[in-house]
Amino acid sequence: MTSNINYLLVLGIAVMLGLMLSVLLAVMLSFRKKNQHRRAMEALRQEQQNQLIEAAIRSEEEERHRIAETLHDEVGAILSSAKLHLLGIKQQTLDEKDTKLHEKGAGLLNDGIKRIRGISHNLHSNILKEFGFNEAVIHFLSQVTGGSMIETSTNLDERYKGNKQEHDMSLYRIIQELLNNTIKYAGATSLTITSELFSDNLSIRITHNGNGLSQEEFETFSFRKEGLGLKNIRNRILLLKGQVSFSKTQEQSVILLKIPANLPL
Amino acid sequence: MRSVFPALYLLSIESVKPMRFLRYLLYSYFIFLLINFIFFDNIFYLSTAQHSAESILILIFSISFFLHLIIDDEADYKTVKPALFFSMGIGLYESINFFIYLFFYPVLNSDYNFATTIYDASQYSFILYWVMTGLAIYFHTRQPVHKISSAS
Repeated sequence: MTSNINYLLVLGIAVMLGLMLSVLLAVMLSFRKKNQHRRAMEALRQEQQNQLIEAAIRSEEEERHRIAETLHDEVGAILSSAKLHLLGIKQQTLDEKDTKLHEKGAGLLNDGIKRIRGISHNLHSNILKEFGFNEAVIHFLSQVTGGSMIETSTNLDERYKGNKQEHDMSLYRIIQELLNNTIKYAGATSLTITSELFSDNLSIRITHNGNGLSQEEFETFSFRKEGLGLKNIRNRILLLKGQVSFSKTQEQSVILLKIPANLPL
Repeated sequence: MRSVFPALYLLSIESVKPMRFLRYLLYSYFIFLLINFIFFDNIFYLSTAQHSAESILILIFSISFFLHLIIDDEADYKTVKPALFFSMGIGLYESINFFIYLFFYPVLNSDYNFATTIYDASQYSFILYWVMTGLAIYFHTRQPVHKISSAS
């Protein structure tokens, strides 16, 4: 009788404990499964977001190309034709006042043609395709700061041979946007771009002595409606799986970009 | 009364709140308590019937909570971690002690040594329960506080 009660008691405890442990095991397994599902969903969401950004960037690039081609082939051709017509006017028949007006007109037309060419080249980024990322950056920098008081220097790592063209294009657009912003808003008089390739990562540092952005300001502005350029930078960085950081002291501001150098093609 | 506070705690969890039958079960337990002490047991002596009823009550509460966690797709491990650890502790404690309380007097009368052994087992499970409760409190304090900030 005694051993029966003892046996029943031990059996009861074992059954209850087994039941409880089974339920706990089921809970743990369900959490594991839910976590796996959640992670898969998150990866899918991230992939969809990247695809959307990529599509937006691609359509933006296509639009840029279309505008560049229109500017170059149509507006540029019209301006060149106008120049030809203007040069066709016999200067000997003009008086002194008309000669000055003719020269002024020709000068303005030349200036217009140059600018149209510059804009279309910037939009089209032929140099990037033909000569690579480093050359394109140097060319762009000389174009945007040429004739201004900004002292510039570049020290780009020649070991960087480029990524997939779309990725290089995105990186180039980021640099373009950052340089444009620096020239427009920071009031810098000295600007340096350096790049370094280390262990499959490309690090690009833009240093200037103007009043640049801090990381907090970048985060704030890039989420505003009007911060389209910064928003584009954020999206492109996301697409490149890179990082961008802003820092500033009283003497200088630094923008640091870190991009994987061997992105999957 | 040791089951009332854990039961109330489990009832306060958002996901358990809608389970009305648990509330009715708790009211039924109070009725059982009154009937038991008025007609059957003495309030000044250890009532194994009352302890067993408490155990089964808490077991139903904690298993309901676990089953809810299994079927709820939105249940997040990090959010429910404190409640989960607490329920685990009390669930294991009660699953060990339900039969101990139920058979304690018969075993004590028939085999004193075995009774002390299972009483020790009960005490060890009590330590386990408090370790799990301590962990639950620790996880609760480690949970991030969500602040509502105005969007700039």
